[in-house]
Amino acid sequence: MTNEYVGTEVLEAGDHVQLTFPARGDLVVLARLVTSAISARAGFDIEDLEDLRLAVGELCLLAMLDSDARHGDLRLDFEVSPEAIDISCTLIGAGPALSTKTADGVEADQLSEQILAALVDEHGRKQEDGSARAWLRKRRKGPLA
Amino acid sequence: MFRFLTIGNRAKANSDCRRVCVSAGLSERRGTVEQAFSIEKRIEGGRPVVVVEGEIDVATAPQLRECLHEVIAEGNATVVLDLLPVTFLDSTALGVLVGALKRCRELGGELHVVVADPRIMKIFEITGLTNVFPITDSLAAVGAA
Repeated sequence: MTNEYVGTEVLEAGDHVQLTFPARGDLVVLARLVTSAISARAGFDIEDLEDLRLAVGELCLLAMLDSDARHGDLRLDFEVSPEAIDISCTLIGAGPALSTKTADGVEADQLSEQILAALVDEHGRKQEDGSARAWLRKRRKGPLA
Repeated sequence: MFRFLTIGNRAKANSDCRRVCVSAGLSERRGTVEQAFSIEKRIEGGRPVVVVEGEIDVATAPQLRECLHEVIAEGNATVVLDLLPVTFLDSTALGVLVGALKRCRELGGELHVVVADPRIMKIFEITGLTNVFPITDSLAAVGAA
């Protein structure tokens, strides 16, 4: 595995990063930007970085899916370990949604689940304590340098 | 807390070409989010071509949906969707494309998708949509099909 990141600010095993922002679709780009930065600093290569960027966008969509997210916040938690990166997305403070179908008549979670299944090693979603949480784990291709 | 600001949002129209631009990305200096996205409609070889540039996600996909529905509603059963300048695409975007494809086929037409970037093609492949859409890697190839 090639570490493409050449900066001095490297995330190490045990580091935890948290990002909270209003649960709005136009802010999901923030989640992707932060994911790119953290994945690079955690030593993932450019291919994994692209996979994680896409996967985290899908996590955000899944977390917002069954809720009326307009008044809630999305909290992203990044945990770096020697063998993997664990990312969870939790929707906090939102009410229940009316429908899971998109304006195109497609079940919104089907494509997200397919994308996550292809890009990461483990993923899941559940409702807990009145909040929706989606999570993923992506293992490293090789040992952490 | 992050503040969202649409940097640019303009529309201009002439006889056969319309362009709608929304800028977006992250500006640390101003604390704003900017995301590059534009849609252009034009006629090529008597066929409507919709060219999308930038990132298609939950924030920008509604504009693509509106544009495609408008083109199809004008009586165009077959539409060419040029995604060559697209740099990112998520499940929301795929949902919009599937919805538009259904509309085209209901009218006896087709939605041709033009993709060359392997990162974008990968998303079609992992969701199995390469078997659903007629996909080519250039506009010229659509003309030859």
